[in-house]
Amino acid sequence: MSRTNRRHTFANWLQVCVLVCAGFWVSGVVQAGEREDVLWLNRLSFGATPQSLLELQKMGRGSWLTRQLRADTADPLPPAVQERINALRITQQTGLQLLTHQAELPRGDSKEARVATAKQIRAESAALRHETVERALLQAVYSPNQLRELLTWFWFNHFNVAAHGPVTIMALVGDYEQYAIRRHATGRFRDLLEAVVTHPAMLVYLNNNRNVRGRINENYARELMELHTLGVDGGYTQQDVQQLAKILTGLGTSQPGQEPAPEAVRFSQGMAEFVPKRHEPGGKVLLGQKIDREGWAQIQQALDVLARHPATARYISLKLARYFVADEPPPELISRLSKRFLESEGDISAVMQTLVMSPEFEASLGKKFKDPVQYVISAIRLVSPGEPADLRAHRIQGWLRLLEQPLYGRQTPDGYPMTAAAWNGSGQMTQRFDVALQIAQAHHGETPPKLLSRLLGSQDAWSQNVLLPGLSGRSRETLQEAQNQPVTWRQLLLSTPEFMFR
Amino acid sequence: MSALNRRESLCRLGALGLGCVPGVYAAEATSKTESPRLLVVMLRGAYDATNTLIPYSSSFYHEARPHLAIAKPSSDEYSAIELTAEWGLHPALRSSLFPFWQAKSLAFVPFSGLEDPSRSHFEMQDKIEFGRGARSSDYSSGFLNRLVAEISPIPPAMAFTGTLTPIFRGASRVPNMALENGVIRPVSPQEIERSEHIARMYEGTALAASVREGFETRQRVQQQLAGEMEAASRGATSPRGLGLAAPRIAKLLRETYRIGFIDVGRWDTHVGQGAATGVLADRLSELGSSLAVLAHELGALWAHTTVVVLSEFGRTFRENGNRGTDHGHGSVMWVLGGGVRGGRVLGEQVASEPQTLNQNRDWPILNDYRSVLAGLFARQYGLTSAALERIFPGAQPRDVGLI
Repeated sequence: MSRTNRRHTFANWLQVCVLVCAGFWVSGVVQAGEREDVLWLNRLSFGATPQSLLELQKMGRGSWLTRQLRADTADPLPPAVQERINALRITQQTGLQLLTHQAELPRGDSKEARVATAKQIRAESAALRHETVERALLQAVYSPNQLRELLTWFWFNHFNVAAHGPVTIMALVGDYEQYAIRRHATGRFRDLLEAVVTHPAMLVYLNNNRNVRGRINENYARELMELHTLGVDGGYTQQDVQQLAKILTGLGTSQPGQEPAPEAVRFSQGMAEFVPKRHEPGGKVLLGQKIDREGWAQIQQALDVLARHPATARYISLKLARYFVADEPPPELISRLSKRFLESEGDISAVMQTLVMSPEFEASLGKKFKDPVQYVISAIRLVSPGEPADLRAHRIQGWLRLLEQPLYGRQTPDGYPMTAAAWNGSGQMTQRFDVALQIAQAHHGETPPKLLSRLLGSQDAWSQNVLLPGLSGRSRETLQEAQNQPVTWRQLLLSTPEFMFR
Repeated sequence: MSALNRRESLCRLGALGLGCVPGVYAAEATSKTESPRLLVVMLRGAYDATNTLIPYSSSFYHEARPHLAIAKPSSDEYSAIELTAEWGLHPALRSSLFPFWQAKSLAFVPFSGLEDPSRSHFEMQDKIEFGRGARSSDYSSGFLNRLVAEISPIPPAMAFTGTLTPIFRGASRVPNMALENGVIRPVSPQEIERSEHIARMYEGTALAASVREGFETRQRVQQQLAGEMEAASRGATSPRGLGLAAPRIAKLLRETYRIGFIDVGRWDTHVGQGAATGVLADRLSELGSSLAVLAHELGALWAHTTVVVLSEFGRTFRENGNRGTDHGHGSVMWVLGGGVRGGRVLGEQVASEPQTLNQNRDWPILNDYRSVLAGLFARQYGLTSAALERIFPGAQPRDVGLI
C-alpha cells in the first residue's frame, strides 16, 4: 500500500472514530437550546441528525449558514458517497459525450433496425435518468451541504423539466441539474436564469428549439415570464408573450458532431446554440422597454430586463418564503426579501440570509408540513441512513411515487406545489403511513448494524434526550406501547403528527 | 367479511370516540338506486375542443388547419362523424361515444369556459376548480365541496385522485384515493390495529379528521373492490389510467359515493397533435372507451348518473407552425348520462368565422361554465337560487336544457 493510500485510510478511520465518538458525545450532553437547534436544522436541511446537530452547535448558526450558502465551494462528500457518484456514467461522461454516443449508434437500413436503435436509446436514457435519481438521493441523505441540496431541489422545481417523453431530456436531466441548477443554486439569479435558458433540456421541454424566424412557438416565452420570472400576476400581456417569443427565436439545440452554423453561439458544452439566421431580426418591446440590441445580445438584454424586474423580485421572494417559511408568507417578509433581491442584484445567498435571520422564520419553525420528498428523506436520515453503498434508489423513488412526488416526475412546468393543502389530503396521509411502515421495515432487514449506521430505537440516547421530549403526550404513550418492537416503534415514530412537520 | 363485521371494523374507530363518517350509514341503509350520481372529469392541459366537436361546415375551419382539420363527414372512416348540420365528432370516438349521442344521452356545450385573459393552464385549472370566477382570491373551497354542503342528506363524495385538488377542498370532508394502479387487496386485522394506534396519536391535532377519514376510506374501498376480476389478466391489453379506474369508480358510485371527481392529463398538444389519427385521437379514444365502460358498469344506475367533462380552456383555432395548437379560450363541455336530454349541441353558439374569433385567435366564451353547471345542478338536485349563489358566487344560473 503506498504512503498516500495509507494516509487516506488513516484519515478515513479517524473520520469514523470522530463520528462514532461524536455520536456518543451528543448522547451525553444535553445542551441548552438543543430542541430549538433541531427545529432550525429540520427546516434548513433534509432533516436533523445527531451528527448535523453537533456540527451546528460547534459552529453556531451564523457560521453554519454562511458556510452552507457559499457559492464558490462546498464541503466534500463522505468518501463512500463520492465513490458511488464517481462510478456513474453521468459523472464520467459529459452531456455532450452521452448525446454523441446516442447519435453515433448505427441506424440500420431496415425499419426493424431503426426501431431497435430507438428502443436502445430510450432504455439508455432511462438508465441515465435513474443515475440522476441515485445521485440526488445520495446527496440529499449524506451531503454535508444540506442547504445547497434543498435549494437545488427548489430551483429544479422552479425551473422544472419533466424527464419523461423526449429522450434528450431523460438523458440530460443529470447534466441540467448539475450544471444549470446545482452550480448556481446559491449564486446569482441572473446566472441561474441564463444557464437554464441555454440548456438543451429546457429548450426541448418548452419547445424553444422549434421557435424560429417565421414559425413562432410561444410556449417557452409564456412560461419564462409566468413561471420562471415575473409570475402570473407580474403584469405582462399577450403582446409581451409574442414579443419575447420573437426575441427567443433561433435559440435551440445543436446536432452532436455537426459543425456550428456560421456566426452561431454555442452553450452547454456545445449542446445548445443560437443561430442568427433563425432569429427574428429587428428591435422589440418587452414590458414597455425597448429591446434594441441584435442577435444573442438581444436575448441577453431581455433576460436582464426580466431578472431585474420588481415583479421578479417579488415572485422569487414569495416562492422562497413559501418553501422555507410558510404557505402564506407574511407580506412584510416578502417585501423585505424583494428589496434585498433588488439591492443585491439577485444574489440568492443574500436573500436567503435575510430570510433565515428574520423573526418570521424563527416563529415558523416546526409548523411547515413536509412535502413527500422532505418526509421520505428526513425519515431515512433519521431512522437509519445506513451505508451509502446500500442506499437503494429504486426503492426510495418507489416510495416517492406512491406519495405522488417522484424526482424529475412532475409533468408540467409549474413544478410540484409547495403548500400543505396539496399534500395532506386524507388519502395521502394514509399513503404516508404505509410508506412509514416500509421505511421502518426496510432498514430493519439490513442487519447487522455496521459501525457507522445507527438503528434508532426507543432506548437510543438521542431519542431519549432530543426526539421524545419534542413529542406530545399522546405520541409518547403510543410509542411507549411499542418500545419492545423496534420496527413498529420506528414506524410509529415516523407516523407521529410531529414528524409530519419541519 | 360479513356485513356486520364490516360495520364493526369501520366503526371500531368510532368506539375510540373518534366518530364515523356521517351520512354513510344512511346511504347504505336506504335504497341505493334513487339518489342522483355526478362525476366530473377534468381534462388537464386544455384539450383541443375544435377537433373534437368539429365545426365542419365552416370553410374557415378547413383553411385555418391545413394539416390538422378533420374532413367533412363522408363515407371515409377518417372523416368527421355527422352530428348536426354544423357540428361533427372526431372519428376516434365512433365506437365509444357516438352511440351515446345516437341514444340521446350525450350533449355538448361549445363556446364554454371561464372568461379570463390569462391563458395559463395552472391558474385556469385552479380557478375552474375553485369555481369563484376569474377575479376571486378566495382559495378556501372548490365548487364540488360547496355543492356537497347544499344537498340533504349530505352525499358521500370522493376524489378519485392521488392528491386532493382544489375542486373538492373545503369545509366538508372529502376523501381522496387514486384508483388507477394495481390490484386492490382485502383489509387485514393488523392494518386495522395499526390504523387505530396512529389515529389515536392525531386526536386533538389539526390533521385528526383527515387521518381518520383516510383510514376509513381506504378500508371501505378495499372491502368493496377486493377480489375483483381483472379482465386484463386474460391477455387483453391491460387497461391503465382511467380505463382501469372506470369500473372501480362505477362500483363505488353504486355502493357508496354520490359525487366524484377524476382528472386525465396529457392534452397539451403544442406539437404534432395529429388529425384523424395521432396523439389527440389516441387520447380521445382512451377517454371515450373509459366513459363507455363506466356507463356499462353502472347498469341501471346510468339512468340516474350525470358525467361532466371539461377542460381549462380550448386551443387556438388556427394550427401553429409545428402541426399543433397553442393555448386558446372557448372550449366544449360534454355532458352525458341516462337522464341527459342528449343528441343536441346546446347553449349560445356562433359560426366559426374570422370575425367571430376571440382576439382573432380562438373560440369566444359565450356560455360561462359556472352558469351552465349551476343550471344543471339546480335541476339535478332541486337547489334554490340561494344555494346556487353559495356554490357559484356571482354566477347567473342558466338552464340550457341539459336534463
